Amino acid sequence: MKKILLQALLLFLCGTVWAQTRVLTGNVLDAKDKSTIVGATVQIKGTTTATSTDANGLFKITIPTAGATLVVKFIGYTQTEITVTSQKTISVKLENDTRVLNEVNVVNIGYTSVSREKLAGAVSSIGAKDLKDFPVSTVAEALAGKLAGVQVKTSEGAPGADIQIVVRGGGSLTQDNSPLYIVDGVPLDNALSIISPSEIQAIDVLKDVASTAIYGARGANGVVIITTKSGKKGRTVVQFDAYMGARQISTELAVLKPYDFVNYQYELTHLHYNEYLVTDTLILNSFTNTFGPTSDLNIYKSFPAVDWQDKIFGRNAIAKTQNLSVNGGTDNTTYNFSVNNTDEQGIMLNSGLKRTLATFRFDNKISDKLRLALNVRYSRQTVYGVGTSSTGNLKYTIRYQPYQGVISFEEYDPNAIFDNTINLSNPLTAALSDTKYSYSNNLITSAQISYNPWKRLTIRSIAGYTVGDSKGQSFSGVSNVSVTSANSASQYASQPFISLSTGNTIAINNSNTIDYNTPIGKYHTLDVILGQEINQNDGNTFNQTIKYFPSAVTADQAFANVQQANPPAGAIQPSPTTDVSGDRLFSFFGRIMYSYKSKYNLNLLMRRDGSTKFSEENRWGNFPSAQFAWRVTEEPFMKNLKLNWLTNLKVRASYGTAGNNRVSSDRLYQTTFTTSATAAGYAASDASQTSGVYSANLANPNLKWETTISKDLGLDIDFFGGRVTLALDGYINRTNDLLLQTNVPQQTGYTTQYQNIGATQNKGLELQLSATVINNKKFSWNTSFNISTNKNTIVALQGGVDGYLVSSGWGQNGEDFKVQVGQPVGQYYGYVADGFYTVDDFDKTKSNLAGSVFVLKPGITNSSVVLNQGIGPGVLKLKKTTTTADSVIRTADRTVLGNVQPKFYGGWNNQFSYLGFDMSVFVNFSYGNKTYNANKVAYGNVYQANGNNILATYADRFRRFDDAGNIITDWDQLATFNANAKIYAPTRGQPILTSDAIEDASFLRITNVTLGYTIANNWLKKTNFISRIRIYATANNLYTFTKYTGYDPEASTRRSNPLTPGVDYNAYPRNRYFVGGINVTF
Amino acid sequence: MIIMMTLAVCSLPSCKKYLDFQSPSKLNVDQTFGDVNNTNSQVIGIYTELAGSNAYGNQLSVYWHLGADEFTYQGSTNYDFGAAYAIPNYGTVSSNTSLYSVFVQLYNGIERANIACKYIPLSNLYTNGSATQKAQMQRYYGEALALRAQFYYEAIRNWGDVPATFIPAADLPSQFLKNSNRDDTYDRLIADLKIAEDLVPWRDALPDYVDFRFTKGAIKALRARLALARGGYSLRTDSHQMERRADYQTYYKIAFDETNEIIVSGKHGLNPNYENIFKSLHTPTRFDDAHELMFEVAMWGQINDSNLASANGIKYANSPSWGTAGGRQQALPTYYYEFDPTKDIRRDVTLASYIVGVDASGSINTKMPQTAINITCGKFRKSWTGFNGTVTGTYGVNWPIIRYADVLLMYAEAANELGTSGSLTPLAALQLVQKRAYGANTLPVTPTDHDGFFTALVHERLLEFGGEGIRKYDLIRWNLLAKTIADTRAKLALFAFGAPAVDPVTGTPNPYNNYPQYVYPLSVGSPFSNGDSNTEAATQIYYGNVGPSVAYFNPTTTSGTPAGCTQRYWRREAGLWTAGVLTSTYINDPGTGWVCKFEANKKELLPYPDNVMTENRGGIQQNFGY
Repeated sequence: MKKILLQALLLFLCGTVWAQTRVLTGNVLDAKDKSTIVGATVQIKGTTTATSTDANGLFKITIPTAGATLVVKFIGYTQTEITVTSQKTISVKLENDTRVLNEVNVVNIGYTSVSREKLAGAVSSIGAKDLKDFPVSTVAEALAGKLAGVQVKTSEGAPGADIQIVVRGGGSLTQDNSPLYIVDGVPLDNALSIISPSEIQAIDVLKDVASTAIYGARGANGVVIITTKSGKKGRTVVQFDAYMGARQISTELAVLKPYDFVNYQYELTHLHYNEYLVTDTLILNSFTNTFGPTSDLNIYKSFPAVDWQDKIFGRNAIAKTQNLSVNGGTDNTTYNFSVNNTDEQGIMLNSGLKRTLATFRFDNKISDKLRLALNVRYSRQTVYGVGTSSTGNLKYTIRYQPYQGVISFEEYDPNAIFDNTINLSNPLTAALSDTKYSYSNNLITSAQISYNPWKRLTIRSIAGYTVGDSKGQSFSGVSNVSVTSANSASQYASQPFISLSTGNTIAINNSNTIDYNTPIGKYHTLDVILGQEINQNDGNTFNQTIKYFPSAVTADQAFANVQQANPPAGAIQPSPTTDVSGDRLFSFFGRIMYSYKSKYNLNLLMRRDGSTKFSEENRWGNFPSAQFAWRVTEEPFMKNLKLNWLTNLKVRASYGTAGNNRVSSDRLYQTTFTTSATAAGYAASDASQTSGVYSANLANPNLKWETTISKDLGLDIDFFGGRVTLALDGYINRTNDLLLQTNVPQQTGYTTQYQNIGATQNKGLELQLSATVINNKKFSWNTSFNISTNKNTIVALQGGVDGYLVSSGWGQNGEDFKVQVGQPVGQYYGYVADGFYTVDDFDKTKSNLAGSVFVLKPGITNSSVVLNQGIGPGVLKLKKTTTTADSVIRTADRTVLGNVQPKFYGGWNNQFSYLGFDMSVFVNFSYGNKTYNANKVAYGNVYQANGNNILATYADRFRRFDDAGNIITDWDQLATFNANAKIYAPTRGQPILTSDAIEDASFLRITNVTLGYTIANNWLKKTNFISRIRIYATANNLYTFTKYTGYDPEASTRRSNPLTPGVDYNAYPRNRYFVGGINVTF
Repeated sequence: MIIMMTLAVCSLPSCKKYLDFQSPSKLNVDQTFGDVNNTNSQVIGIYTELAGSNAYGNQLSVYWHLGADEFTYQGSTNYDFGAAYAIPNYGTVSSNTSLYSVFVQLYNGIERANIACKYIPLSNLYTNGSATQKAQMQRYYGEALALRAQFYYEAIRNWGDVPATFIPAADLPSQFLKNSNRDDTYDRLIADLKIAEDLVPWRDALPDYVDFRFTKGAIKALRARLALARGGYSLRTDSHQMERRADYQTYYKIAFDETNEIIVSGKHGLNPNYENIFKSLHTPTRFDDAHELMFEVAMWGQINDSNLASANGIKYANSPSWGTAGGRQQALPTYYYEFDPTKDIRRDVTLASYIVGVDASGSINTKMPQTAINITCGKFRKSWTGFNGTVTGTYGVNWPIIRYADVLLMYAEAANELGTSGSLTPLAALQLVQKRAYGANTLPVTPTDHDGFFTALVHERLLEFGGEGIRKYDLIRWNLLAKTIADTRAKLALFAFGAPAVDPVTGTPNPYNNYPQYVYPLSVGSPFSNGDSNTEAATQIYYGNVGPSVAYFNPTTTSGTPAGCTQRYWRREAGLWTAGVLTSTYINDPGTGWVCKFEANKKELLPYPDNVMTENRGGIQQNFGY
């Protein structure tokens, strides 16, 4: 009865709406935390009268005097209707729509977006929300471990170090496997280092080839689509974010202490590498001259040890970042401006990074049919510091004498025993006097114009213009061993030198698309895109080395006044070099997306790419793809089952092809000639040298597109209204006609050539699970977990060979990787270590400890040939893997020692919030991967490195001399003395890879822990100035659980050749990073 | 529809042009061979591969040719098959990295030459250019052919049946080549050189003539040298024996004709001053108006440089004027005594028995006599370069490939073998060379019968070309390497102190019987003034105020070291006989002994490097014995 009355009343009121109106004011609040909602739409039901809430969540609307029904909407909240009768003010509370919150509604699939429900490809996405709690300096660091099938590896801890992202294993053997980055529609190579994490709205990673195919060739390794934040309609919002932190070295490598060091030097001097006693008095005296008489060596026990690693890498490296953004707009225009300033020190002395990024994004609706978006981005970066891998700095910190003063091994020592090099600089002097700066400035601009002549037709054109300028300066002073060592005296005449380089790049991208989107009948929709695109890259470089500076010059003086360099008589300055490079890509593409009731979704794609990298006959590649998605839960039979827990079930299948043209140079299909004074110069007259030209690459006219064929089967399931979502993908990617720089027979006059040979396959499974575990008024817990497994296999190699060996070239003797059909890339190849020779291995009747004659018992393997040293007790013993009559270990006894590929890897992210507090814990892991600890090999070896320190494990080595320095001549005494020996004596020949250096590098890393507190709105509202403040503290790389003994299980420093991954040699040590910050919204 | 559209658009010329990008930093084939200067640059690029450490800058000039009866680089007690001394001592293994580096560089040169040899004759300028352009292009073509022959010659004499290819690698139907019969390869090269010599003018017809590029004379001489190699002995793959082919005289005829034509042309002559030939290699100033140096590899500027005079040559030790340099590669003591002690001026140019350094009294730049087994090669000396004492490293010293004296002696050899005479009698040719060496002195009597003359010629070449990278390969083509090694080892044994006065094998008197056990130079050395080699050598002072001509040729006259003198091991240095048994690491040690790893019919060739074997996947057969 009451209801009927009410309805009657309403009817009555409606009848009078034309006549009488009044103003209703109100606010819109979050039902849970009572915070105001800015920008919510308030509309009178059944009319077009609407308004939105202002910055304080307030609204004013004119309603009929008698009242009305208001419809209040805001994204992320359930739409609410409320009936107003006579109230003058009203408070509307909106409930969170959990389903919406847990889903990124719209997915960018390249050139257009689709709703997630229609998505037919394998796409992983993360939004700003996932990124906001990670105050890291690069986007890549924030991405690590978040997405199934996406491996993010930071190979070194150096500021500005390369970050490697590999999507689904990477198909190419020797080509760059990094994905294509598309930022707001424009490809951008170094996107990850140019965009500040705070700018990002969303990242969509297209993983299956059928999805990436729309980007053609460049997308074969996955496409990372980054959408930056655009301005929001409404009042201007200013946000300020500042954080500061400190980095610390996370692990050190222990080395011998002073006494052990001297003791070890004694052994080196007195025992020849062929195991006999050194009698040459010159050599023996060199020891006493350097370290003092044998009887006094105990003094070294009281010497304070100097931890050079701590001196060089031990500082608290401070990092500061400020970020300011302003955004706002009107109905027709929105803008977003942000400035990000980073100043971070590297943990290594005299190293760091300074970077300023400024971005301006402007969106304008010129008319209802025409929209314009402009994007300007500027970045200025300086990286300074000499680093560790190319210079000897890490080596110095480990190898340099572990105490200060007394003697110096810095210079060439004519008394050196085995060879003529000590080749060490004082690490501190080297780190402080040598300098390297890398400056880069990038200006990235793009404009996008879209025109809708009719509702269903969009014509869009995007043009991007990117300019990059880089400059490098490095200085090597007299403390640098390459300047002063006897080996390079002829090159540098012991005088400082500098290297200068500049580079410019210009990239032009233009894509034009026509997009026609129409429903056909009641149930069908069709979306057709046709497009054309060009990509053009041009670059030039200038390099010069200037030698022969006065010895006392400082780095800045040298850079400021190069004319003071003065070559000695007969020497000349090296010529400067320049190079111009470029490539062009011309493409056509089309996509037809068909959907029936959003239940069946079929996409057909075609891309045709033409590249300058290939000859006219092989220039064009056609890459068709297809995708299909079926939303099972939309079927009536499923609906009839009334499975309330199952909100959505989608099955996806796709087949895609993509090409790859990433070879190093244009015209590798033709013989071309390069000028060079070094590689093609001849002193045709006696007083000068004439530069000539030569063919640097063996031309391959048959060079063509590498093709990847990918099959993907996926499942997307949402449970409980979206509280739990699961995405499961299985894929097989096969890459044929690999573009490989392969070894060729040397009588061709070249050692390598780019060829299309062989095939690789990546097979994998990916699972991504997200859940809102708890979500109530006070406490919420969101968790997401992903795990991936990828099996990489080399399917075929050139000309039917089933394998070949590759050298990673860090300094070891011989090849240390095996590329093998049927096996994954990254197989370590070396000798199997078998402890050391004990006294029992020798035939004591024929051997003589005093005379250092050693005869092995029959059947005991002899490792002297490959070690390149004599065999005696305590020498590294190797296992024989082949059968020969003589038990001598030879190169044929090398075998596969493991590989770099993990069995599975993934991440687990947890976000908690309790009232104003938020906390996130992020863990990532990798299992079954092995790392090649080359530092362990290098720093456990004496080769040409007399006077060098070694790893502390060698304190427990097998010793031939007793504590008084006397050679032990009795077999039993030797055995007793070494009863506790744990390791062989350091090897003396050029180092070789043995199984001891291949370590299990499985790890579980607590990548990030963040704790934040947001100050409640109510309290701040009173300031009428600041609307939100968040303060937080974060620890990055907090702890790593691993058995790996080197600096970091993920190190990989020989990456220039993709066939030699996982080598940990002289990597800049990884660090632990603590940050605290504040985020203020005005 | 999409495909149709793309096809339609891409038939447009603009699209094709857009995708035809070429970096302006590079030249394509048409740009290179469409221009005389660019063609010249490409030919310069072929010459590059002759220079530098992995060719005649170091490996081929300082190490590889050692191991004959002139110079040696002794091994070590702990003999390392991969060391620099392994190749000179005939004991290396396929993993030796210098084998690989040299192999790669030689074939780089061959490939660059193959490119030139294909594209120069195809070029428009070659056929349709102006007369000058044509002449220039022809010259470049000829030079490329000659360079290719030089690279192959070096490869064949070290490895034997190396794979041979005469087209650019990009055109090869298969990159996997098999061994090529060296006779066939030589035949092809000899034919190529015939073409080349007609394309390249004599030195005086080249306006920009310098000694560092091939001229007609040099090409002819190279052709003669290749012909003698083709007609000589080498270790054969099939029989594993040192053999020469039955038609060898055909090739001696080629050598005869070529050398005869060079002699007749009069474009080259003997430098009247033997020392000046080598001096000219060291500085931009030439002392070779006779153009005896017909072709040398130019080294320069620490870029494509040589270690000559830096690694090898006279040893300088902390000399204020010349610092520290030289010393690598030592003469056999017997080589010193092969020269006529009083007449032959070549000995003291070729051999330096002293170090230049600071003596016991602190006097600087003095000559301090060496021991008998440490005599160095005097044809290379830092003091001849423009580099002063503070500069270490490399000094841009050139490497001589062919000189006119070799032309004369090849002529004499070929004429003797064929029993014929051209412009000169074989004896006259030989004596031209001898006359320069002996000056006003009477020449030794040379038998004129075939064998007697040949023996004299073998000896003359030893004296003339010591240290110039010729001897070992001469001995191989004469099949005298094994015999000479055996003979020399026997001579060394006789040189060792305490050897029997009569050679127990031949019954002839021990030629070294009168020579000293030790020599006693004055501790205060005689000053080195970088003067004439014969004078510098003669002004060393030994006990009794005598020079080397007395000290090295008479028995030790003192017991114990006289006051003011220093003892230097002489015969005693080579070894010691006690009770009829020789003790000598220098001669017999399996690690440090002279050419300790030589085995006849096995070690005349080197092993192919491991990487080459691997990359050819079984296509190349490893040389016998490795």
